[in-house]
Parts: sequence; C-alpha cells; structure tokens
Amino acid sequence: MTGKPITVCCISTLLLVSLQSVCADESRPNSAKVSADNGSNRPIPKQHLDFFESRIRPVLVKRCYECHSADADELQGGLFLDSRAGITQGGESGPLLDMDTPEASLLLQALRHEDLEMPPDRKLPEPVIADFEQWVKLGAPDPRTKGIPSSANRIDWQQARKFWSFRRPVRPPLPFVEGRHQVSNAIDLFILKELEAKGITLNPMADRRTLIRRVFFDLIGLPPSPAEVEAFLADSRPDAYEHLVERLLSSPHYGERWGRHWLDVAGYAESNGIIADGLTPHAWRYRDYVIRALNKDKPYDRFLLEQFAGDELFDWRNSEVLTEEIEESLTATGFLRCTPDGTDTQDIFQLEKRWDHLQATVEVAMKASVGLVLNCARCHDHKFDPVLQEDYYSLVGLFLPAYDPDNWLPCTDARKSNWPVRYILKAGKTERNTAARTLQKWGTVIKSLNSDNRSLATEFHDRWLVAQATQGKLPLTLDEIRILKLPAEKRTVEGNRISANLRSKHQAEPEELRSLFPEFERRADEIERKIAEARQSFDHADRDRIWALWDVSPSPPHSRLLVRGDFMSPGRVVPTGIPRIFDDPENPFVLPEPGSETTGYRLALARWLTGAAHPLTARVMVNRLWQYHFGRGIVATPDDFGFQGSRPTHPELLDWLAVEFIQSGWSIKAMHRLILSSSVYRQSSQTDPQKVIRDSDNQLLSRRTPRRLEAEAIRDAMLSVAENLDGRFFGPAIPLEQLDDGQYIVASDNAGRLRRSVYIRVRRTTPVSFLETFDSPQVDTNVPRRFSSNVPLQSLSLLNNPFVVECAKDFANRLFASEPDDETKRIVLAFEIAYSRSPSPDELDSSRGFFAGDSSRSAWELFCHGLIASNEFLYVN
Amino acid sequence: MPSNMNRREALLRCGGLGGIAMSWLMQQEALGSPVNQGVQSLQARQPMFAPQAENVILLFMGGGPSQVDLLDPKPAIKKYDGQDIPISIFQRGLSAKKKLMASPFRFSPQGKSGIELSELLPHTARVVDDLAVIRSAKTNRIDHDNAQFMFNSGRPVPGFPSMGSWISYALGTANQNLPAYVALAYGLPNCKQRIYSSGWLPPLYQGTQMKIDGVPVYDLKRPESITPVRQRKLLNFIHNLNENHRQQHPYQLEFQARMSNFELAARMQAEVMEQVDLSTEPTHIKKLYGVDLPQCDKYARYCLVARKLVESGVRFVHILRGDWDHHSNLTSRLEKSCASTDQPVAALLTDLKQRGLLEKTLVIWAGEFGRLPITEGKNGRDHSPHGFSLWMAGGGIKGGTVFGATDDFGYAAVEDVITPSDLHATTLHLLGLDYKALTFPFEGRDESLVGVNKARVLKDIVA
Repeated sequence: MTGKPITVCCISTLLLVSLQSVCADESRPNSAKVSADNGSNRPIPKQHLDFFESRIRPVLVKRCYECHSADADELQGGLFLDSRAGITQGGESGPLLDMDTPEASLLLQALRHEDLEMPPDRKLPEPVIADFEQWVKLGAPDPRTKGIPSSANRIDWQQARKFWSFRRPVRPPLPFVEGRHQVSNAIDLFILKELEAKGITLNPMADRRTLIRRVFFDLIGLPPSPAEVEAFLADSRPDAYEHLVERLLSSPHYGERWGRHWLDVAGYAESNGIIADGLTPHAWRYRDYVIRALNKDKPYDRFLLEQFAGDELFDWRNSEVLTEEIEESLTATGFLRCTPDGTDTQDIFQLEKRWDHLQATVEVAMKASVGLVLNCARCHDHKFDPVLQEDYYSLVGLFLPAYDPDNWLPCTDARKSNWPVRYILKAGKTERNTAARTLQKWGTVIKSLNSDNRSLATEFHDRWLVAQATQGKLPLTLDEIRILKLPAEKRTVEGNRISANLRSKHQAEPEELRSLFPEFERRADEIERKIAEARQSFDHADRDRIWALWDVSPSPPHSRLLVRGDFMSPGRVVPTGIPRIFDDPENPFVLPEPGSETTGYRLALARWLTGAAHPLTARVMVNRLWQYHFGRGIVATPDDFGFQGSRPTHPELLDWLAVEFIQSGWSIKAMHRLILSSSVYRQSSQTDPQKVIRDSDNQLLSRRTPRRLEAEAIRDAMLSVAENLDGRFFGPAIPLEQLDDGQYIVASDNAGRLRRSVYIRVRRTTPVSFLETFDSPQVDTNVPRRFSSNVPLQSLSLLNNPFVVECAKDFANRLFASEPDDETKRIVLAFEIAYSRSPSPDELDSSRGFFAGDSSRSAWELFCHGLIASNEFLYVN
Repeated sequence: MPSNMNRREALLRCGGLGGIAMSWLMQQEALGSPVNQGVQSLQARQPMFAPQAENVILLFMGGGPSQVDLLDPKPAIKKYDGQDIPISIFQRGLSAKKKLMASPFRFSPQGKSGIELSELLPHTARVVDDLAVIRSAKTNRIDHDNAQFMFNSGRPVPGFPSMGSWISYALGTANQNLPAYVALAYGLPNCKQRIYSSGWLPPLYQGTQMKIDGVPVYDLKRPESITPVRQRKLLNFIHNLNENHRQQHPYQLEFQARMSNFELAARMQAEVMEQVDLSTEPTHIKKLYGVDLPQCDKYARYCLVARKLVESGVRFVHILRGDWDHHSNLTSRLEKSCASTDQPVAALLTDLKQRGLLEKTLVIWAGEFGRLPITEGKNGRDHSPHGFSLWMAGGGIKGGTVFGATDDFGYAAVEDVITPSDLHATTLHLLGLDYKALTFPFEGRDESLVGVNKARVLKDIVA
C-alpha cells in the first residue's frame, strides 16, 4: 500500500501479536452495546443444530472463512464469521442480522448480491441462499462459542504504552559533566553530557552585540535600535542580560512574535479555503486573543482549556452580562474554527465538506496539543501508531455535539438570510436572544421577499412571452400560450417545465419588462424597497460577533465509524472518548453526565489533556518552544511524537523541561527565561573542523547556527530600520490589493499598511507575495515548522520589490535626518541600524568608496538597499 | 522525520526497491538536496533509472471535458437518444430524469491507428497517432475543487504537494535561470493557485505562476528608479557585504548559494522576458499554433510559450484553464472550448516533434473528471467522476493506442479502469522515478505522491 513496506513490518513485529494467540475481548468503559441477539443464551434445539451443522457451517468454512475468520490472512470488513459472537457483532458495515425483519438482514442482502455482494466472485446457488434465509428466520442458531479477536487485541497495549512518549515524563537526575564552568543552568548539563561524549564542548558566549540582536529577534521579532544596543553594552550590572530578557518578555511586541508561532500551530487563516475562498470577517478576534494570552503569560493549561472548550467554561448562554472573561473564553474557541470550512456552499456536496471540516479540526487539534497524527486512522486502524480506527471515531465523537454533519450550522451568513450561523452575538442573554430573534425574523423576511421577487419576474416574463407571441414576434404554439396564461399555481408539472424552457430560451431584459408593464415596475419597486428596509433592520439588530464554537445540540449524537473513511458508509456506533492507548487510571478521561445546554465533552477532553499526568501535552509544548528558540526541536517532528516521529535528541532534557513546565504552573515565560539563560542558548556561532566532524548538522548544539528570519520578521525588520513601523496593536485584518504584475501587496491606501505582518490578512489563496517568496506557508491545515528556502526569486524580490525599495528610501531619509552633514557618521549609523554593529575599518573604507563620484540621495538609497538585502540583515546569528 | 541513518537502514533492508531508492537517496544527500532538509536546491538531479521523458507539459482542462462528445464515441447513446438510461446511475443530487443525450457531434476514425475522434478535434486528429487515448479514467470526487486536488496531488483535499512539485523535488531543473515548475494561468480552475501548491514539500518546489503578457513573474522588472548601471552597483555592493559575512561563517554553505542567487536573479530578469517574447518566433510557427486567429490566439500563445520553456530546460509546465464545465448550452460552448484549444494543442505536438523534443517531453491532456451521458437541463451534461477520457503523448508513450473503456453509454469506466494515482505512477515512471521510492518525510511517514492509494504503472501505453 505505502511506499515503505519495511517500516510496516518493523512496527508489526513490535506491536502486533498474531490473531490466534488472543481470544478475550478487552472490554472498555462506555463500550457500545451490540443490539442484535441471536438467542445466544438459550439452548439450541437439536434440529436447529443439525440444520446449522449440515447446511450452514460447511458453507461458511468453504466460502467465507478465507476473508472473515481469525485465520484470514487479511481480515476483510472487520467481520468474523467463525463465531457466534462475530456474527452477532457484525462488521464495519454494521450488524449482520435484523431480528425484527429477518429477511432484511444485511447477511441475506449480501448473499443475494443486492447492495453488498458476498461472496464477491460468485453468488451462492439459490438453494444455499434459501438455507441461510431459513437459518436467519430460525434465529440464527449457532453453537460456536469462541470469542472475537477484537482489533484492539491485535495490539499489545502494555507493550505499546511503554513507548517513550506514552510514558509520563519524570524529572531525570542531573547528569555529571566535566566542563562545569560552562554551565549556567540545568539545561546545559544535559547538552554538555552529549557533547562531552563526543569529545567536544559548547562555544564561548556570543558577544553582547550578537546577543542583543539574537534575543530581540527571538522574543519580539524586531531588531534593537542603536540606542538599545548602546544601553545594553553600557549596562555593567552582572545580570544585565537577565534584565534585557525580562524587558523583552514584558514588551507587548512579545505576544505579536510568539502569537504568530502559535497561529502557525493552530493553522490560523481568515478565509474559508473553499472555491471562492470567502473571508471569515471576525477571525481576527481569535488572533488578538492569542497575542493577549501570550502577553499576559496565561498558563498553558488554561490556554488550551479555553481554546478547546472556552464555551463550556462559563454558562454564557444564561449570563445577562457578557463579561470580558466570558468573551475572551468564547473567542478562544476560534482555535477550533481555523481549518478550511466549505460548508457554506449550498449544494449537494455539503455533507462531505462538513466531514472534511470536522475531521481536519480534530486532527489539527490533536497534532497541536499532543503531537498525535491521526489522519491514517480515518480509514483504517493506524498502521504505525497504536490508534485504531475505532479510537479515531471515538475522539471525533467528542466534537460531534458542536460539529454534527447531520445538524450543521452554516459558517457565514453571506446571503444575509441565514440565522443562526456560527457566530455568537456579542451581548448578554436577553439582548442577544432578542437580537437573534430579530435577525432570524428579518432573515426570513429577506428570503421570502427574494422569492417574491423571482415569482414576480417570472409572472411578467410569461406575460411578455404571450405579448411577443400575439404580436407575431415569437413563434409560440397555442398550447404554449395557453400554459403561459395560466396562473403559476394552476400549472401542471409539465406546464411548469414548458414555461421554464420558454423563459430560458427567450430571455427578457428587466428594463424592457419595466417599460412595458407599469404594474411590474410598481410591484418590483415595492419589493425592492421592502428588501432594502429589511436589510436595514437586519443590520440594525446585528451586533459585533464572536467567531466561536459551541455545542449545537446538548444531546450528543452517536459517533459511528465510517467504513473505509467514507461518510456515505456509516458503520457501527463506537463509544465516545479518547484513544485507548491513553487509558490510564492516574490520568483518567471522564465523560461528563449529560448537561443541560452543553455536553461538556470538549471540556472533559481539555481537562484530560491538561492533567498533570498527561504524558504528551507538556512535552509537546516545551519542544515547540525549544524549536522556535533553536531552529529545531529536541524532537524534530513537533506535530508527531508517535512511532513514526523523530526520537528526541536529548530525551532527558525534554522530560526535565516538561516537568519543570508543569511545576512552573505551565508558565511559558518561565520556560523562556530558563532557556534563554542557558549557556547553550547564549553561545557563539563560530565553528571549527572538530565540531563539523563530530556534530555535523549541529544536532547536539555544539554551536549556534545562524538562522534566516521568517517572512514576517523580514518585513517587520525592514519597516523597523526604515523607522516606518506602525506599532499599533490588534483589530481587523489589514486588507490586500493586487498589482498589475499579479502580486498581492498590503493595500496601499490602508491606514494600517505599515503595521506588523501578524495583522495582515491571511487569505489562503492570496498570500502577500513578498511574504510568500520568503516561505510564509500556504495554510491548508496547520504549520508545525517553517521551511527556509533559498531561491533566486528571493533575490529578485530583494532587488526589485517596491516594498524593499521604499524601505531603503526611508532608511536613507532616516540617516539624513540624524546625521545631515557627516558622511562617515551616516555610514556608521547605517551599519548600526541594519546590523547592530559598527563597520570595520575595511567596511568603512569600501563604503566611502561606494559614494566616490556620486553621493546623491539616490546613491544613499542604493546603499541602504544593499544593507537590507544582504545576508547579515536576513540572518540572525 | 526519521534520521537519515534510519532511512538508510530501512531502505537497505527492503531489497530491490530499496536498492534504487538507496542509491538515489545517497546521490541526493551528496548534492546537499532536500532529503537532509538543510540547503534545498533546484539543481538538476539524476533520476532513479533510465528515463523515457525529461520534461512534462500538463494541459489541464479544468471543469470536466465531456468524454462522450470528444474522445469516447458511444453509438448506443444515439440509438437510445432521449430515452431513460437503462443502467443504474449513482449520483447524489441528480434529478429523477435520466434521459440519454446523443452527442451532437460526429465521430470518425483518424490517422493510421484509426482512433475515433469527435469532429470538434480536426487538428488533434492529425496527430492522433502520437496519442495514447485513455477512456477509462475514474476519480473519487464529484465537485470541481476536490476532484482537481485529487487529479493534481492524489488526495481530494488541499494541502498535499502537486505532481509538478514532486517532480521538481525529485529532479530539480536544468536551467537555473528559470523556475523548475512553471504554471501558466490561461485561466484559474476552481481550486485556484492551490493547484500548483507544494503542500508540505518545501515551498521552493511550488509552481511559479507566470503570465505571458506584461511582467510574467512579479518582481522581475527593475524599478524605474534604479538604472541598469545602478543595479550593477547594487549587486556588487551586496556581493561585497555578503562575502565579508561569509568569511566569518565558512561552514555555512547556504550563504554561498544565496550569493550566487543574486547573479541568477540578475540573469533571470532578461531570460524570463525572452521566454514570453514571441516576436522572435518565425511566422510559420506562429501560424501553426494559430496565433492571431480570433478563436484561439490566446491559448496558442500559451502553448508556444510552453514549448519555449521546455526547450529552455524547464522541468514541468502546467497550463491551467477551467472552462470545460458545460452544464448548459453544451453544443455551442464545447465548440468554443475546442476551437480555442484544438489547433494550438496539435501544433504543440507537431512543433515539439519537429524539434526532437517530443521524444523527451511527456504531454498530458486531461480534466479532473468527465460528464454524464444523460442530459442536464436542455442541452447540458452534469459532472461524472465515474468514467472519463484523457490522453498522453510524447516521451515514452506508445502513440496510436487506445486504453480502457467505459460501458456502452460512456457512464462508468469498466475495462482497465485507471485512477489519478495510476496516472501519477506512470508519469513518474516515464521520468525514471519509482513512485514508491520517491518519498518525503512528513508527519512521521515517508509520504509519496500516491500515498496509500493503489497505483500501477500503465505498461500498456508505455513504449
């Protein structure tokens, strides 16, 4: 099936034990009850037994066991026909037997080749099928008592739970290292241990200029100003560096920088991603929520809790006041709205779009929080990880009350006639309900007026046809004319078809109808006026809206396993809950009692996720933080901590950090402090041949690797050196415009066009071209890590892009404003602004040479252009 | 991502296939290419085994061209015209009426091979002996964007790398002054730019959209404020700054690559403009394509640029359009779509052939699905993913072949059924790539273009 059979084999020897060796069904709490009953507990009359043994069993053995027994090479359809229990339970397509109407049993349908065709190659002879009909009518007597080898039993769960990432992290003992002088904190011990094993050690600390630039970009995504560099150099306190870190962590720009990282993890975008890629106008409130949450160091467990189930944390439905706290909490659930949502298309494809959105949401949520990749289990048991298809749909069940494909809320009200839609009006209970009722009312009115409008046009279109025919301008038959003259409600189906055909064949311009029929004009105007009024009333009743998720129905729908992942083939009901690999008495998942207006399912999930004993949540997050600080995670696959993911390069360090994270009260800023104060973070980037040989790709962190800035940081840094950065925070997304050459830029007439990149509209199909060139991702699901490519198109943009040229110009203006008279001072300042350092004597010389013969303003613009297009500007050392 | 060592071990253990993949992987690593995710590059790379084609031109006919009016003649529809289709049809949202609609167009045998083509394709008829016509394609989604994702990436959802991206990743490109994967947007199909997305492959393997009028690639044009002399001065200055910087980081190879990219970029400014400049093409070539003919001028220019790009070493050219969605007025609209494409497409094959390029260029003509043999409205046909036609020609393709068949009414593929994944496997095979071995580590799996879908190389159409 896949291109890598070898990997499958490795895992199967590790995890899967042969079917024969297992018999008992592992029972689970909340296990779904099987409904069919073939009289298993009653004694079987002898003649029934004889009938089974002579007519049924031989056929099953000969024609069915090959694919449907414990001995089958590859079990088909999850169906066992070699035991009474197997027949009772049925397979992926559902129960086999229907005891109320035995002749409608799936088993018999399949044998008759009605829908399913079994056996698939050749139908059984009619008399044999008749035997099976007879057998089912007798109640399917069956003496075979052996148990079902459930697919759960194919996995050795005890063994599977021993996998490193499924075991709870415990604080490891601190290792002993030789180079104590290099140790700033515990992190360094773990790093040095590995380095010393290879006979190498950490680099010395980077110099202060390098360090301040590194920390600035890292924490706030902006370069330090020359004054800030000077102040840091002059700070003689022993903890000058700690003060710097502290100052940046409390800068409101910190949330913009790190919020952008989390928005990647969430797969944040402001459009629905389907066909026309319509905008989701209120999504930005979630973006602002993330920035604010990071700025105030909201504990990570709370952060997850709000994003998974903010709507279930408060009884917002009955609260007369929409407090700030409630609003924030509701806004957080935007996390679960991020994946493409094409459910607003009013066509026959709605059901699959709903499933697409639901499944993408579940998958991104689990990757983001616990680094578990579930996609494979949509269609079949996971081939690599111990996750069954049933587990997948159990988990889906937790999201069904909010995202029920059979009871769906549209995502927008683009036509202004849908209400409710998936927005919560920003108001307390009474006001909100009144407004909602009003919106619903006017929505219905608009819908009905639109329909009136169409009927009116049709009526006069028909009259027009008749008039044309009477005047001999159209060759209509008498029959056709007779039909057209009938009022709509008196026409037959055939009459309607004929008149519709005539209308589509002979179009009439509305203008012509207006001039010919004063009555049409009058009535059409009347309807238009009413529509305009209704729209106005709709808008008047409307409130600011929150892009949120909440349970649409308090009575949870059953989660059914989708056979082969096909939503057209719902199979058996599965219990709702977490994947069984996580069954752990110390961190139990508890399905709540049915609530009044919300199921509490997602809240239960979130509480379980953020339990202190959860093996993955803390590890996954500290690994993300590590990745953004160092360019690569301790686990290189931040969204996949499963069997196919990378193994940690420093497993003990990861666990130590995870435990530390939980004990710090899940404080993200505490983790930053810890990591930034380590020697490994502060070391220089110099490299020697020993290190290249013994730690070739720097997995052991024997040195700092210079990293290219991400797209957003490049743009922000350019604005910053040009002293053009508009530092305003929050608010609706800044729109885009398309230039003649096809590229998308930030709308040039927008007052916020110079604001930070995190506020620019993220429309999936039209990313800002400059950012796209520098690898800003196309957001289809989520973005666990950024790539950093190196292509000539980037050089083209650095040479020719109007934005770069503009920044260079303003950078030059800034130089002249500060140093109007002295060329040398201007050169020095230019280097200090762009690189946070002074030019070397050589550089100063060659820079002076640059202006020999031409020291015009445009030569200075070119000079500045060169600085911001160079590698030293684009890379953080 | 498993470490390279694990990948090596795994590949060594899986025998024959592993052998190919292994040697290829080592070569990739030696080139510092994407496998190790450090420096990524578009340098040309050797395929895994001897290729039959080096480049691909994908003529994407988005919307769903009607197979029973173009490539798949069905006399039974004519015989039962206007009657209920006698076979069972499964499609959601279909009205109760299922009346067959005969094709308004005549079919007749063409060329030495005698393949029957519609009268709408007189020019294609002249090159029919170069084509392998596949009449048994089926796909798994019925709506445009999902089927387009399926056709281009093997998955019916966005977010996966397109075929062109996989091929650029595998083989790089011969001409570093031009993108590896060019998307020429005659018109955008329903799934828009995402049709040439690199998904989770590194973004440098994404298609570069190129226009053929005005500025073909954005940021290609030097701003007016910077004269050529000044731009040279700027380039020299950047070079000096970068050289200083590089000397402090002697082991950081990407700094070197980034420096040479500036020189490439400078050359691209000229070279890309040349690609879309048709003034140097001789009149008889322009005439061959139908340049200046009102019905097909624009598409003719796109096809001509496609030839120039392939001639200049671009690995994958994707001409996008999306106007084959003929729900109504099928007769006139199909005539129009065919008139705009037939001559340019045939000319492209003829022109490639006379330059000796056809033998190393694979040309694919296809939409994301086909249309039903029954009528929709008065004169239209609704989507059909169950059975449709496409053709392939050029590098490694056995010309004059018909492969597969639909049922008597052209509704469903019944014989030698192929899926988009089979098409992908075959395309990769012709380029000397094993579709199972060409993988990229994603979410812990070694993902491929085909993924978990079943796929096979269509040996019957391979020369």
